[in-house]
Amino acid sequence: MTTQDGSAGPGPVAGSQLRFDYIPRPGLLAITLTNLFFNLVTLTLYRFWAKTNVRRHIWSCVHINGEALEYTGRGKELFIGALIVFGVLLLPIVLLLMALQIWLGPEHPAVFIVQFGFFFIIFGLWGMAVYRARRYQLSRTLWRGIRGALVGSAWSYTGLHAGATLLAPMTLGWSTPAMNFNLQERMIGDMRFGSMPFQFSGTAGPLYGRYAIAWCLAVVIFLSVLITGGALIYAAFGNEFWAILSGLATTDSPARSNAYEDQVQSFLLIVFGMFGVVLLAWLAQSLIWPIYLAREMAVFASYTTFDRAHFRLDATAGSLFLLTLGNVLLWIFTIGIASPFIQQRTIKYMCDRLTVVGEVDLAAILQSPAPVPRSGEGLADAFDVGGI
Amino acid sequence: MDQTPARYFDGKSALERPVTIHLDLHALTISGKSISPIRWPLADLRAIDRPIPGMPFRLASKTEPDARLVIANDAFAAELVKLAPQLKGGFTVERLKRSAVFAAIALASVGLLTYLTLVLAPRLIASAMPDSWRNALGIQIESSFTEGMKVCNSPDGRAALDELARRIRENNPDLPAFTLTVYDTPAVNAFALPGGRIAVFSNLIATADTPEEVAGVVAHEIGHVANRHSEAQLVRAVGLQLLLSLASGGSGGNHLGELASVLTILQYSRDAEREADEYAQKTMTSARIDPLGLKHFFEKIQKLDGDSSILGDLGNMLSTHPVTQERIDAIKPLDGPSRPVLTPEDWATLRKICD
Repeated sequence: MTTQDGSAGPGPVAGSQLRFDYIPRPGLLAITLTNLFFNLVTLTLYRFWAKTNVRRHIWSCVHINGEALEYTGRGKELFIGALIVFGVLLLPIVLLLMALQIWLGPEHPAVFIVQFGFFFIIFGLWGMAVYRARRYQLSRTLWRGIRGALVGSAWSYTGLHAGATLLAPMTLGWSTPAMNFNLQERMIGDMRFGSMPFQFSGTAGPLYGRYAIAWCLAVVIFLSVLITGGALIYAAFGNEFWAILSGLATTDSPARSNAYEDQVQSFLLIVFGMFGVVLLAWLAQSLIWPIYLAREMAVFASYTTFDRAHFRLDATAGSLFLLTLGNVLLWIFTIGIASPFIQQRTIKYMCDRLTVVGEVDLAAILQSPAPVPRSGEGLADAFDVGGI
Repeated sequence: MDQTPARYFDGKSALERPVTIHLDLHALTISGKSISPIRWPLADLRAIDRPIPGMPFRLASKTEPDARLVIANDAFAAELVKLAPQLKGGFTVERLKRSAVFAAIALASVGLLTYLTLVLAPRLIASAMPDSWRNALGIQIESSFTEGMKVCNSPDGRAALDELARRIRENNPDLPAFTLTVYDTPAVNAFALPGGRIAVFSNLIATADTPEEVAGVVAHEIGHVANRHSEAQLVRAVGLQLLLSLASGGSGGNHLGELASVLTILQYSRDAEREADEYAQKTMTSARIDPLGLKHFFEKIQKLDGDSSILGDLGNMLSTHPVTQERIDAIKPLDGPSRPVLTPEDWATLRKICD
């Protein structure tokens, strides 16, 4: 613990070292169960308050120099944010679509154009959702009574994000490291703690070696899953497969024979088999990408500076792999109920491996002058953007 | 113990200020080097987290909203909580009361919203809906659920059907506009759709023994048309979708495809059925059509219920128009002579409308 001299005035001041610790408190299980109960009885309308309870708990476990963070967000603010997005974005679009369908019939080109526009808006505003959610969270995160802030333009981030999303499939994913770098540069550059800015500088180059490894592995796994899946289906059903499919499509006579029942059974087997193969592929993918993500996290941390200190995140492929595996298993075996614990594991991982090298002049950090948003995360809720 | 060292953050900078805090019955007083004493009245204090022994206790005050005080002394914290019980957190009478009020307001809003969506809005919107919208909706819904069904339209049968419609209109100048279409399907049913479109299934005509039975069913469907029940039910279905998508989040998606799920739209409430029955009784009385036809038909339908093998995909009338003994008993005979709906020849032709 550093002790500061309260009489520090202007002039050269000795900086402080910063250190992150995750110190668990009791109570997360009680929060999880309470949230589960109220989410069930309110058809998940309680999710805004549930999220807030979890954040307040996890934030209070994160300590910087022995002083815990504080989350000051309210469930009510998230609820109002969601209501606003529903009222000004979703409801008008749905009503417009409905009116067009009634006027012009469901097959009219105008209906398709509006539907396409609807999905385009969701796609285009995704970055907006991410940025505004981050702004809300930072404004509700306090350390030593000082707020965080995000001071840039949500629109320019939104444009960048949309560009990144467009480029990724066009480049078979190879634009991802560069675009992630750009997005992170924008986000970190806009971040403040109190009056003090974060800085981000570097290049995307060091990301590409690991990206190539992960990309090749992902392609290999994808192809082998495809081939094994196909071979399994062929071994089980041989040429009957297509016969079964076409048989299903044409059987609509009221006399439903035993043969039809058999076909349905075989079809279900195929469906379950494919489901299993897809699940395996998904598992494999979520375990391959940590190879790259660990590198990205570490590199991004090393590019980030705050006052006279820079960050170091000791993220390794192996440890991130284990974290992800644990999280995935926890999610599967509790059908998502344990997600507060998954969030806790993730935050703890970051705290345990994050070090701050250099010194920060705490006396120079004044309360944030940035306006505090009154409600938050409506878009993020509507689009179901991930995160805590 | 009434004083202890603590950490104070003034909310203006991130600098830590070591202070001594002093507790009396009314306030905490914070003092330290280069800080003129600050008084935080106990009533204004707020705990950031629940006090847990062994963990620093964090406090804020309404006096200085951004400032924070951290007390690492358990005994002092316990004494403070005794004097300012609101800091204890957990369940207090005050918090329970507030939760109860919140729950009551929430329940009331849900109730109001449900009433708006399921009762008020459907009625208002259905009666305000312009005819062009009703017609467009009716055409779309009819074509979506009669897809693949043959329209029965033999010229003679059609003429007999028109005669039946004309008979129902007799002495009923206020009847709404309606169109009758017969579809060739094994289900025993009839539907009223938006815009006055009435679909009658061929097996309903085959099941009926007299034209009065068919006329009674059609008069009942005209009752739905006159009360705009299907328009109201459509608005109700859309509103319910919107409510659910609001509650559960997500992009709202495209629920419009589900609008065509006719069964949910055409399942009327008992009140709606009673209204349509009353309308049918009134209409048949004016047109001098024997209402006992409808009564017999309902009795027949009730018996069909056990035998589900003849039901088509849409089910029989019981699935969409629940027939109860109460409804059957409510149908009264005419207090004077009735006139036939169709001649025996026309009735025979109507029964062959699908040939």
